[in-house]
Amino acid sequence: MKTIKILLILVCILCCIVSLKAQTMEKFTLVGNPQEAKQIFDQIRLASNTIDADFVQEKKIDILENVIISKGKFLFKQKNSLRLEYTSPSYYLVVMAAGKMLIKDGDKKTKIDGKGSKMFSQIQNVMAGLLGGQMTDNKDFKYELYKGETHYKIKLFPQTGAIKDLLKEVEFITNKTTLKALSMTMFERSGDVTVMKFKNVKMNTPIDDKVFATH
Amino acid sequence: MTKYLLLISIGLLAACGKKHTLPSDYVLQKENAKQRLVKFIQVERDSLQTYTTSVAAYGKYFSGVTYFKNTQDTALRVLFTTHTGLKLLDLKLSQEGCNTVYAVEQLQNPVVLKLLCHDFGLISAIKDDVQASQVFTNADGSVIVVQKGEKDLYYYATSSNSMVKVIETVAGKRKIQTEAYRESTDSSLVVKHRNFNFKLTLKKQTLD
Repeated sequence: MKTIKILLILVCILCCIVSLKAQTMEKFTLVGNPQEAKQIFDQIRLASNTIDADFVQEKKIDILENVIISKGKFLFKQKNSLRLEYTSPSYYLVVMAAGKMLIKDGDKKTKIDGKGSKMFSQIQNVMAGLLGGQMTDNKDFKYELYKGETHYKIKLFPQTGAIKDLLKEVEFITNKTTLKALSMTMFERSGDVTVMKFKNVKMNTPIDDKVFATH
Repeated sequence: MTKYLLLISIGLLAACGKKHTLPSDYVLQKENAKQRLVKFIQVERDSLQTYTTSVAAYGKYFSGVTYFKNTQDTALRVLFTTHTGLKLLDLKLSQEGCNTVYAVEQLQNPVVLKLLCHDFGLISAIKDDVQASQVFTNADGSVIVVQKGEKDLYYYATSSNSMVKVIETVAGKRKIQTEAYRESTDSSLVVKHRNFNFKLTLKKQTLD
């Protein structure tokens, strides 16, 4: 009995490894035709009126030889409402909606009016581009869209401002059929890599506007 | 409370210049002895400690997570990132000093970097024990007097939960005053400067 249990666990682990390997080994080809790219971004936009997901963030820091794990909740609603809530190991909340931003860091609450913030407008541009189907008209980011057998890969290359100083590239992976977001990887100029993996992703389910309150 | 007693003590001490007049319950314990300062952050070899961190500097505010790792016996790596994982600062502290490996553009201010190096070095007591010219103690802690050459006198008032550092020039002018202490309410570690609009706050995280 014990041997069967161990065997089952090993088979499960093997399946996970094979599945992950298949995802990472997937061959992607560049979508060079702007019309086709626009169609794909439109599909993503229509599938993403709302996104409700849990996330696990893994930060690989070479010099520390550790992978730092954070967990939380990701909520998005068209157009440009975002709530990113870290619940572990510490609480941290960012809400962006209607041109305003709220940051809750422990007991400290910071409210930012995004009108004068270049970084704020850049983040909104990414959201509008990726999830709002406006990627092909974006000046702050260059993009490359790739399609594989089962996934789309979108690479963003910041072109302006503070984001350009921090990030070399941001990579999104979505499922080609369900258009559910699977992961977002940030490649920093310093060489560090942060991966945000999405789980329990629910698309186009109702989300109350109250969760995007910035006051 | 201890923090305020130590503050008052060092205030009196610094005000009295080289006479080292302290409240009467302070007793001279040692002269010309090596003395260890309070180590607020102690990182074992190859282990990692994580602190939720905020830096308020000259009207700017940064918050995130600081990772402390003892990469060698004598070196401490200090990494400050945003909550979303972007690296803001990477310092290497050793007995030889502080080396800025990386700093995001907004932190690339020589004064801010110097203060961050100073504060992280102070709370992790990365440097050797200080050579104290005099060590006074009472029930609340110690006052350590360090003579640095002809010019400067350093005063450290320490207890297990707080430390006040004052540097006094030969002319009796205080150059810097730093307070490092644990908040009794939530055990946050706070480093503040009297002469600079600069505050560093760290709260230990428990990793899953």
